[in-house]
Amino acid sequence: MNTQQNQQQQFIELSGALTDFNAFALHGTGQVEHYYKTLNDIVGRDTVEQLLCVFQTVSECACDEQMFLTGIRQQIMGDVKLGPVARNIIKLWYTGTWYQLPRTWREAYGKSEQDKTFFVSSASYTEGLLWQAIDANPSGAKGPGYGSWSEPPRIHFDNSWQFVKQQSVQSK
Amino acid sequence: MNERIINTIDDLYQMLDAAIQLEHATIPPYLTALYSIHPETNLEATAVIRAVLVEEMLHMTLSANVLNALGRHPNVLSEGFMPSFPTYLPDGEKDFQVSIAAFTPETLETFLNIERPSKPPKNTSSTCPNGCITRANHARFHLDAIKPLKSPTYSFYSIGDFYDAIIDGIKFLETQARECGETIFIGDPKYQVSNKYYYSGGGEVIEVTDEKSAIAALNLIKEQGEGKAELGEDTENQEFDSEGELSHYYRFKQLQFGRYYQKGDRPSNPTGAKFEVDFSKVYPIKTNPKLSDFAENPTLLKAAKDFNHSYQEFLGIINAAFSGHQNLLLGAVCDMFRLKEFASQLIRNPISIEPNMHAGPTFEIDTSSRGSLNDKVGQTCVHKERA
Repeated sequence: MNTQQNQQQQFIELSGALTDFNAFALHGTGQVEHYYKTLNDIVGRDTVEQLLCVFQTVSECACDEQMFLTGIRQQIMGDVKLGPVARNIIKLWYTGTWYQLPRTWREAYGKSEQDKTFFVSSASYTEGLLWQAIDANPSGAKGPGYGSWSEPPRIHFDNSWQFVKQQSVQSK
Repeated sequence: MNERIINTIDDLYQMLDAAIQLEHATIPPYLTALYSIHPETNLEATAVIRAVLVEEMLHMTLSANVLNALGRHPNVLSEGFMPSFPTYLPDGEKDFQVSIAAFTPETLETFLNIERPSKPPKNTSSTCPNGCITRANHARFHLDAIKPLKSPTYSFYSIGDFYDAIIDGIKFLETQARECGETIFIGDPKYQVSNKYYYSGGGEVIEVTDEKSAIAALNLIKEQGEGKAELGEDTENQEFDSEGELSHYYRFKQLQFGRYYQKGDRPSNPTGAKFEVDFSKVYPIKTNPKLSDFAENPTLLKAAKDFNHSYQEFLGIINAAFSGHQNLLLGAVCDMFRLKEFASQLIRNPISIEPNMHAGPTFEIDTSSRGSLNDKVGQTCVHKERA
């Protein structure tokens, strides 16, 4: 696995923890590469590497899920630089939309001309995780068939993210 | 030698059972190739494959209507109905196999073979019935469709030839029956799938009640598949059926040319709008994936099993719809959209990163659970109808 593949793999792990959907569901949207590229294009490779590095450290240091979640909350979500980026990743997966980062973030860490609110693609709109989360079809797309609205939603948690204790690189 | 392939009503039943099986057998390969295409890419190829796929569903339904008109229900859950891929279909001088695979130039070539127009080879043996050719390796074919009755040595050259044999059989048997003041069309019309419940599926369903409507239904299948003319001479407009629609064979031909046909074109030279077919914008599915390929990935394995289970349940609903519960087709359409999502998820998931190899639906139906499933589907149907 090369560095690029390795980082993309890390991005999937991070996305799983942030969205509560497993890697199967994330791959299943067909959007992994698009979202990873969008993230890199807008916040820059250095910030992405920093985010993934912190995530890896949190993963390797966590003895259990509680410790892991605390680490994510404190080291990523609570971080002035990484927090807004992580929140954007969540929104990206759920809605297929990249939302413009907060003004304070843009002033502090650089303004990308591409950092505007936009759908990554028309496919990203239909592949938003929110539709899976509520078992509905995206409005205007993926027609579910006549009369399907009379059936209750079939929401299941088969594709939930699961905490897996990581072995640190040193101990491998 | 008697050139008629169908001589008794049982022969006709068997050929129609085979027709339904044959139409269905094309669906997993078309469906997989279609969903292997990256979203938002290859729009023309996507549209062509999708249009053919839904017409195969229509063909399956039309064949079922003909069988029901003769007083027999189809059984799409019978043993061996779902082929084990790769499988063989009718072919001519050189055999080919049909696989569950990604959309590639080789897959497109297979699709052209499936849909090819009738073109009996020149050296056809005089001992063969019309539309058939002699094969030495007959035992290799798995589908009933290519095991013509009472002969271990010949097969149909094209699917169109196969339907011609059925039409000949219907004409022969109905003429015989009428001489005795009877008819072979003794099925209850209530079993006919109608346009009330069959919608957006590749055209209008024909309800079959007599010889005329049976032949109309079977001709529609033939024409949508291979067009109205015989291949061999490069004549104008032979790509189109009697309704002016392009047949499956020539729709796929367009993908090879990267160019649409328009009225007045010869098969060898489409002159319509050009478009691009990008085979690199396709998920690299492992060809003919099996559940055993996912042994090391429990999530993939579960998803693939779930897909097969859902597909099996779906076939159960189709069975019920073909046996008098056609209102269940409305729910079956919703199930189809769900199946599409499940299949797409599998196809977009890598089995391994190096080499880059993706999963896909395996279409392995567990025969051991069929009995209980039939019962379950039957109960579900009754429940839904009451509701």
